[in-house]
Amino acid sequence: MPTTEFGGTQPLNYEQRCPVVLLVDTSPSMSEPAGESTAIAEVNRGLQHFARQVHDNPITAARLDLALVSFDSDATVQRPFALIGDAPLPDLHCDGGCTNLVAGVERSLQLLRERKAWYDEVGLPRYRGYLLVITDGAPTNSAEELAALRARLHDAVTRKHLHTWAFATTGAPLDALRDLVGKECVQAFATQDFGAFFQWLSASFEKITASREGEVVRLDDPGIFRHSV
Amino acid sequence: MTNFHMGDGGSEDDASATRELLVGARSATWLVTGASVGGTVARARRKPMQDACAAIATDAGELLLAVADGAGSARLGGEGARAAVCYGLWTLRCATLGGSALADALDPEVNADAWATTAHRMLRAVRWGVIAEARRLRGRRDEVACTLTLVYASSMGVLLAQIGDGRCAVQRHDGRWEALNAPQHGSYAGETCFVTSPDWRRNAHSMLAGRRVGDIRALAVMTDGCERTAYECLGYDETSSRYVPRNVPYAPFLSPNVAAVRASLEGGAAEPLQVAARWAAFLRDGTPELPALRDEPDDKTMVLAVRVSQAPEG
Repeated sequence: MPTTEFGGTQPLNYEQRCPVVLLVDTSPSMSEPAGESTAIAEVNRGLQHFARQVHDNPITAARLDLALVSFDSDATVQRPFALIGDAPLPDLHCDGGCTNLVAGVERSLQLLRERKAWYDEVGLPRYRGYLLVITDGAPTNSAEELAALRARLHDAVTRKHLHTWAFATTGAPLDALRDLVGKECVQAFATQDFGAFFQWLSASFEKITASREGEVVRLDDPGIFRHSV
Repeated sequence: MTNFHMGDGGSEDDASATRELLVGARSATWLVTGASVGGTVARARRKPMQDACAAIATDAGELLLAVADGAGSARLGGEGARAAVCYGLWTLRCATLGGSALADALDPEVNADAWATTAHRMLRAVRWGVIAEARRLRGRRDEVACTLTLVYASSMGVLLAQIGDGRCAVQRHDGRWEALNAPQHGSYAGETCFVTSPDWRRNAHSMLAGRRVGDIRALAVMTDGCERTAYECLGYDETSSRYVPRNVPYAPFLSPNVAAVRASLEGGAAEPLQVAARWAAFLRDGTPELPALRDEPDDKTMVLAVRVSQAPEG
């Protein structure tokens, strides 16, 4: 670094937060062999890569507030909201059951509501919340349950309370997801591409956490969205 | 005396991607150093830097400054920012040449609302210039979206006209710093207003018009890319256990750098643009004590202006 007459010290500033819930399907099909691996093994590997990437970017690490929820027959909070520190994200396991997407989304929305209420209580500025769903199959919920959830998600998105994206492995029936969150917010990819997916996800949140509310962020390939923050 | 220079101040690895802007001026009254440099996002992706700055120090002892920040998502945000500072300076200069509107606005006897009306008219003129630039580039007006901070300073005081989240701090003669404005933020983090936004054009309350009567020692004008380094923006109050927004210029950063500008430029010690080039490198790379500057993802602009110690009345 060249010598300079300029210098000084910086103040202690706290950072605005970007709340993100990663909602991961842990139904039995996620542990079925796909090539030499399984979807859940690829998810776990990708999650650790995602955490390292976020941790290595000081701004994203200071702003990305991550919760991890799994769902099969029921929803389980694997990691409550927290910044990504040195500790690895928890490994996810498939314990059996069905694909109760509604329970997973409802639990995630509750987490987001509680977190936003906490931000408001303590006075932290925030971005809109993000709900990211990762699944390999069709939800086993009834049509009525899915219709009610669709209405709630649509309302939350319309009122700019959150963004909802869904990611499905190739071969998963996408119609239900498209119906639920809108076809422009659903992306399919091959199981063996989970690594690239999480790389894309961390790069996307580097851009999002560096942006202003209302900006249109162009996400990298294999980007699916021309995303308005 | 006009000193507005677009230079390749970038380091060797990124100069081709993020052209930097340097501002340097020395008059009998003012010493000015400023730069616009790319943040980590622009440099890593080799994208164009989208901030801009410009300054004029007149022989009459007046200082005119413009700082703009192109919206990161706007395709022509950098072009919009450069147009905004050019039209902004032109508008300020016309106001100084065309009469005494700015000097009158600093008369303590004159109501501050008069300046708000003038500032609104000036910003509307800049807006049309920026939109004309969009048309010239065959773009839409939202594609040249940018914030803009205009500053006029003389021995009588400082005037500010602003759209968006730029910041302006002034140093009093007792050495203390005070914020001349509060940045415009929305309900969500980072949300702001742009020159091309329709909402402020008819509603003058959506813009900021600041006025500080009385001589100053120095001032600093910046885009939001520098605020985490130069301002206390978000603190924590132990008593209420709450995070609290703050708008406090941070003297341990600003004062030594203002002193460095004075030491470098006063008495003709160095060429203004050479000092500005070193300032640009400093803004770009930071120091070990300034990781917020080094790690800032957004483009960064800061212009420091210092009153010459024995400045003539102007």
